[in-house]
Amino acid sequence: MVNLYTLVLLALSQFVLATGQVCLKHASGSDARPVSDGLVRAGWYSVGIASMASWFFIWLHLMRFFDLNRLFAFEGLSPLLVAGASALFLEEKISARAWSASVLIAFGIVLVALF
Amino acid sequence: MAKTVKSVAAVSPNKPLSPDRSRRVIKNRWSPVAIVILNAVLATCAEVLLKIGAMQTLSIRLPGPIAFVSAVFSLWVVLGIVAYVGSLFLWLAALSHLPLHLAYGLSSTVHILVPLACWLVLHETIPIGRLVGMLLILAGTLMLGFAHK
Repeated sequence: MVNLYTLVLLALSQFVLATGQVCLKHASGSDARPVSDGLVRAGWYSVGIASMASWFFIWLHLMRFFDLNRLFAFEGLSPLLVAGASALFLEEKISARAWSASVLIAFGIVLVALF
Repeated sequence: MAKTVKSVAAVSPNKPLSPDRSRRVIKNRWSPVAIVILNAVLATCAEVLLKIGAMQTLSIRLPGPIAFVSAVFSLWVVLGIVAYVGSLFLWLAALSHLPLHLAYGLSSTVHILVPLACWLVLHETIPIGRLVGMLLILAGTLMLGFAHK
């Protein structure tokens, strides 16, 4: 059932999913930018895990309004959103090839969910 | 923090690499990718184990509102949870060596592996539309994997 409420919930679920992944990435650091401070790392992990838990419960709530396969089709958005969030908040350089690959994956997930 | 792995970008393009060093660079390049793929394999195992556990008739059943917790008395469900926890640790390990957009994209292989596992283990069918979707995901993850420097 698509209405304003479910659309807002869908957008929120994808937003907290991307937020959670960005926070977990911040916590994990990278070869170029390692996270050394234990407290800072614990903070990022906490926010990341809390975001992922929020995503899980919003997703569970959304299952009351959509058939599972229809709901999973919306998960196709997540590779694109996570790529966008990585570019915005983690300053990752995403090549045109990587964007194209993300679009292919997104379409693939939608097809897998719908059939 | 896991031991830092030197990235390929850190290797000067002008200096020829010794065979030993080239092997190390290739290993360093693909190890995090292998960890993401292993994470997807474990997550797939978890899904299948949970599905098998959910279909079992349990001998122990808790009453009323906590009846859904009875599932933890199934060995399959416990194994599924262990596999999920393992895949989470692998995900966190991979994140420290790969850009997020790349790791997340590669982890989409789980959408290929789950239908394949369901077909192989649970004898579920794969409609042609889903097969096309799986091929698109495969093409996308291969593009991402080879874009990784």
